[in-house]
Amino acid sequence: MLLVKYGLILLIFKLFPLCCNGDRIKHRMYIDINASTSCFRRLNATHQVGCSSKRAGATGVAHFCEVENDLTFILKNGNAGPYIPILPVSLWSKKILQTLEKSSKVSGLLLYMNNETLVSFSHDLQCPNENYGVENTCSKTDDLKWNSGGTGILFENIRFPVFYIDKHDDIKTVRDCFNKFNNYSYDTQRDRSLCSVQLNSFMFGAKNTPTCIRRSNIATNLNPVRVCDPLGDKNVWASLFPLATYDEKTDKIKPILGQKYIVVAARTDTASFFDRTSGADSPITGLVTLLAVAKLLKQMLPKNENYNTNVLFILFNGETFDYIGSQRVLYDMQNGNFPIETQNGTAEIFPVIKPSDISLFIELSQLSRGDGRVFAHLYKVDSKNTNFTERLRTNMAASISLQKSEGTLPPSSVQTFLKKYENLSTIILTNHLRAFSNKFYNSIFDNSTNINYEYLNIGPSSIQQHLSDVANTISKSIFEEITGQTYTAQNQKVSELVDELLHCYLENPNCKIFQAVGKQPQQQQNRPFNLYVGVDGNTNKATTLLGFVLGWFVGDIVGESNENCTNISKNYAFRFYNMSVSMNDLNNTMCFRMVMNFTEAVSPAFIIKDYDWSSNLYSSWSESTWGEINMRLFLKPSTSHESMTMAVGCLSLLFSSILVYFIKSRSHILFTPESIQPSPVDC
Amino acid sequence: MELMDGHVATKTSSGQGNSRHALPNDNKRRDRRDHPSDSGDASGNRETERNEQSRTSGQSRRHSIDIPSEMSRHEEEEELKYGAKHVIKLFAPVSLCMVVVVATINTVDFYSVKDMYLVYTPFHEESSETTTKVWNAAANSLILMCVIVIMTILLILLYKYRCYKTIHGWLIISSLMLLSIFSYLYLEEVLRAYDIPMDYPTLLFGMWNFGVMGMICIHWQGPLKLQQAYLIFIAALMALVFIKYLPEWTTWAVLAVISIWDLIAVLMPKGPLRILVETAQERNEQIFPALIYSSTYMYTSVTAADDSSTRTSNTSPDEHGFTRDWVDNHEERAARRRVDEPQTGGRSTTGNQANQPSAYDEEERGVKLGLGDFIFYSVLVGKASSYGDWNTTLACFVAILIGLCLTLLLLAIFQKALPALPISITFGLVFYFITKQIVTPFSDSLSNEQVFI
Amino acid sequence: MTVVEFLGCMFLAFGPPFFMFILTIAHDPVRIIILIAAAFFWLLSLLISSFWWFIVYPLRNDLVFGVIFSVIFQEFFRGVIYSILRRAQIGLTKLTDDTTTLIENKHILAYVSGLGFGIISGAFSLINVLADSVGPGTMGLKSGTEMFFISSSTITLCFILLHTFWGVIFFDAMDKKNTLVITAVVVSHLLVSCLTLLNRYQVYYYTIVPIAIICALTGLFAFKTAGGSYKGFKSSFVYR
Repeated sequence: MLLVKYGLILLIFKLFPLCCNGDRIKHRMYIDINASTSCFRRLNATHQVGCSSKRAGATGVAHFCEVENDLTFILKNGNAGPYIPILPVSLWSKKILQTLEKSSKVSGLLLYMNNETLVSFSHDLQCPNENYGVENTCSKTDDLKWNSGGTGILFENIRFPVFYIDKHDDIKTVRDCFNKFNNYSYDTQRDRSLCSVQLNSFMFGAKNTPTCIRRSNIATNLNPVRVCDPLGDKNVWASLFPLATYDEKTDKIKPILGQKYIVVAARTDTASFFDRTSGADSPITGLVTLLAVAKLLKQMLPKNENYNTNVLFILFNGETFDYIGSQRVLYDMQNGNFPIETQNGTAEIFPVIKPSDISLFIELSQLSRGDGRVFAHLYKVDSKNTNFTERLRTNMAASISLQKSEGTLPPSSVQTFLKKYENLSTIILTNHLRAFSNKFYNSIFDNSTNINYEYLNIGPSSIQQHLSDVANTISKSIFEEITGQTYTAQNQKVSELVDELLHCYLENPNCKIFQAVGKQPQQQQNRPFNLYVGVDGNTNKATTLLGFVLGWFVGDIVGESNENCTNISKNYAFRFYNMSVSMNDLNNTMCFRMVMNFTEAVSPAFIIKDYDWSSNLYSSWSESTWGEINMRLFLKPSTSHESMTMAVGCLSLLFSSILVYFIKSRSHILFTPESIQPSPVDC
Repeated sequence: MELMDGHVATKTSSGQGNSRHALPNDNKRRDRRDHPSDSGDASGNRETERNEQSRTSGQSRRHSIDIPSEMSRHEEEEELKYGAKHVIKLFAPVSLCMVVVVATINTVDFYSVKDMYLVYTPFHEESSETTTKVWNAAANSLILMCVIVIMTILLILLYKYRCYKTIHGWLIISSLMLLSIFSYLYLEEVLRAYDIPMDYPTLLFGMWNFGVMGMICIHWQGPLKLQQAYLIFIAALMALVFIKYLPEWTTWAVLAVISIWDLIAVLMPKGPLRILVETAQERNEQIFPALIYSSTYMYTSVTAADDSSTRTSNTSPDEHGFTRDWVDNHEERAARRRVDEPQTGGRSTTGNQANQPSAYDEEERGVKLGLGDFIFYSVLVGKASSYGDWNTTLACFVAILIGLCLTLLLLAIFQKALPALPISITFGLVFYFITKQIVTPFSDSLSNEQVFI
Repeated sequence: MTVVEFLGCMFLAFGPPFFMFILTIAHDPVRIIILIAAAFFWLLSLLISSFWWFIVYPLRNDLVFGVIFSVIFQEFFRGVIYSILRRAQIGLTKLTDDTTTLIENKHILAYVSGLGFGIISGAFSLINVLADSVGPGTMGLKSGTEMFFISSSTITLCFILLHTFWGVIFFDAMDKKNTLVITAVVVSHLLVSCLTLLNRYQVYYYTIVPIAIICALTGLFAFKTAGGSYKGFKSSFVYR
């Protein structure tokens, strides 16, 4: 019987897990908006930019605005402040920012996505990375403002937190809350409970990078808390031909010395005001073109037949923030640490590549179709780049016209190199002449619409076709440059590849190419990769995948796929991976051998001992750490209700103290004890 | 607490406890006493005592012999009265310690975030499987326990062979660490949590004064309240350290294991703490003055020390109860964790002692509770509060206080040293788990619907 | 920030018991111990009610069931603590300095244990609610009204006082073996608890007003039980 009873109890416990928590009152008081992203704080050698809330978060009465005029209520007549205006993101401009910053009634800002067609939306500076590039290549006064629509908000220090929501459900929740509680008889807002927002994005870092590096320092803190991390990720490089020979018999690796290199470079990162990026035109068009060039060149030049020129593909990371990646590559090159770290600069596995070994530097910048023109920017004209431009011109598809622009130098990684080595022969291929044709540079609106991309829609004037034409042109020209012969064969069709790559980057990271390289994102996200550089020590998945894709394109098949296809043989000259043979045949995998690797993309400023932060030699960007970023809706009680509660409470306190004291001091009169029984105490 | 005093006294062959009875120092008590001869006797004694500070315990012992046997009955009653008072005298510091810990846990994230662990707990419960976590916790707590046992034995050996210098050096170093490094860490985290800027000069000045003052109060002398405050702070700090650096489940396992160990160590015939207590009584010394919170002054007067000529070096009588640092020396914890120990000395109420703090001969009697008990009580309550449910916290708090009451009651009944952890911690653990799993859902659904019972 | 609301509600609910504790309990260690012991017994009753509520899972969502049994358990434990206290009374008198009052006025024990019941039950019903009210928000976003906190506090205060009064009445009735009064206590407890079931419809006026009236009546009854009278009440003003 007892057993049955206990069995029953056990059963009950099993059936109804010991839970039932989570029904606290606070869950009825707050609505968490999980999908919000926030603007956060970054620091450089002298300033802090971005935003931060107070430690406990910023709270304010919600005020939903559809148009700019809705704001006037808050600014002029709002009496229940502080407020948090909720604005469509398209209104987010420098003017609004200044208005809000001036008003003492605003404690935060919430932006929501709207699909308005915009003329221009860019939060970067008008002259991006001006201070770290070659001087006089951009001027705010002349018409030579590369990013003419730039507001520079990305580099403003904003006194209140700014959040962004882009899910329709969230926007609806906020709007409904506003309509239900706030959106009537504004004059009496003071006297009722109001729908309010709490924005919590407290940033630990403050002032500037040197300060916060010091604060993170163990010497002064028992429990050092990192308050900021240097921005950084990885650069990716790969070479068309092997950089070293490997003798299987002797197991010896011998670097191939004395080669010249054609560098084909692009950037891999973008940024936006929030922790969301799109980056279609910059960097994805350049990046995808580079990948296509790699693929084409590998087909044209499968083996090194004693050419004395190799092709080096380099993808720089962190370029948005004062050329972090290229500065580091150059720094490594100068110190003999490129492509891999060496002792005293002696080549052991790979040749040590110095800037002087670069015969031609081709950078692929923004390349969206625009009006069908491609500009070749030659900053310092010399025979090398002039010749190459001519080759490009002859090889260019009919639909595209190539124009040469001498003396102009758009913001690009090349600037880092030119600043130190002004005689470097460089070409920058872009779609713009004196100002970006991309009006959404480094913003969330630089999306597939901006470059007119539609998946599986490869028309003759589509972006896919355009990029593959450009890639064909470049690779043919490089072929000619290396071999000295004219490339006679038919154009390779890479537009499908380009289409798929754009799909991978702009729409769905679970695409065929990313699956083919065997490192597919485990179906975890449908949102495209965030191409913000992030912080050091935390390699972005996008960067890793990019490396594999590049390696896949330039790699050789060396055999069946198997477990031995790794670097366990300690053959450091190559990397071996099992990858699909092609993107249309994912299940057929082979062992690929490639010359590809990653290098640190952290500014030299953070690795040079006793770096002088005021020297402005290198990028000094760091990102503040934060505890949590969250946003919730709640109902703020009216002042009158609060005072009423307080008054009642105090009355109770006062009255009870008097009453209790009175009763206590009069207890002998108030309570006449009944006849006491004889005390039971025996004594 | 007198009660315990009584029992210790009975066990002491030298009858120190009896002598205490003979020295009614307390006016109040004297007044209320109905036995006229006794009161006269007592006041006489008291006067003598006051006059000659150098009265020896031996002498007082002699007096005790004269006491008529019927006296003892009243004595006991008196003891009961003071017993209640002393229970409260323990409630206040124990609650205060818990309040400090709970307040810190709830405002300073640092102490509830798990990132580092003690070396003694090599298994970090990172697996998501319950079975793994359970054995991790069990293994951790056993390892920790072994460390404690070894350290306790070491301490007792040191004590037995009269290595007082070593012990005191050890205790001083530990308390110095707690008062400097751990206090600094605490301050740093509090400042960080409240986002208060602070400059190093002020900080160092403050820390220096705080630390030095603490060392003086704890190891030498200082106002009673200050000494108690330091002891409470140290216990709270130690509890926070445990909460922070012990893995989740291990904390609960350790609490359980420790209270069992406490039971064994104090009650077993050869239990180490029992040996400790008995040795101390034989030597006519205070039990590890360094590890114990006392509700009254614990300074035995130097003179008293001198005349107990048998004692070699009356172990620096000034060192009083307090603690040492846990992080590295877990051992003593066991020692501290022992119960209250009634104090030597006559009985004086708090008021009394406040009025004449200079007369702290052996007169002052108070109740003592090992700092270890403070620590583990606070660990339990602090841990309970770290989940954000105040009902659980409150339940544990009440359970622990009741457990303490019961322990003290048992003490009065059995008249022997008792472990203070088992009852309280058992109550606390039982109430914690039941409240968390069963009561809280019930009371949450009640308060959600605004239903009152 | 509704720290203001939090403070207001806390003062309202716990102000009176706080002063009762400070002025009438705190000076005597024995009373404090009894208070805590009573709290402990209330906790035990809550524990058993929760167990019961938990085990009978089909009725878990019907709070009526849990409430009724909880009231019964509470009154049972009130009986338990009564018998314990009466049995221990002799010993207790030895424990206290205030021997005379504790012996002469047996209502003090009743009052203290009643207050212990009240304080812990008030704390358990309100403490989590109050903790949640510290944030910037108030009730009413998803459900409920702004009045949630203040009404909760008011009812909590009534319950604390009611428990105290019930303690006095109950102990006295037990002394006199007056079954009627004991039943009255249980029934009024049931009544008041069941009244609060209406709170979910946010008809606060229909719950708080009756509860306050019952509280006042019970108070008067307890006053009378404890030996108070109108005459004494009047003379207490006159006498200096």
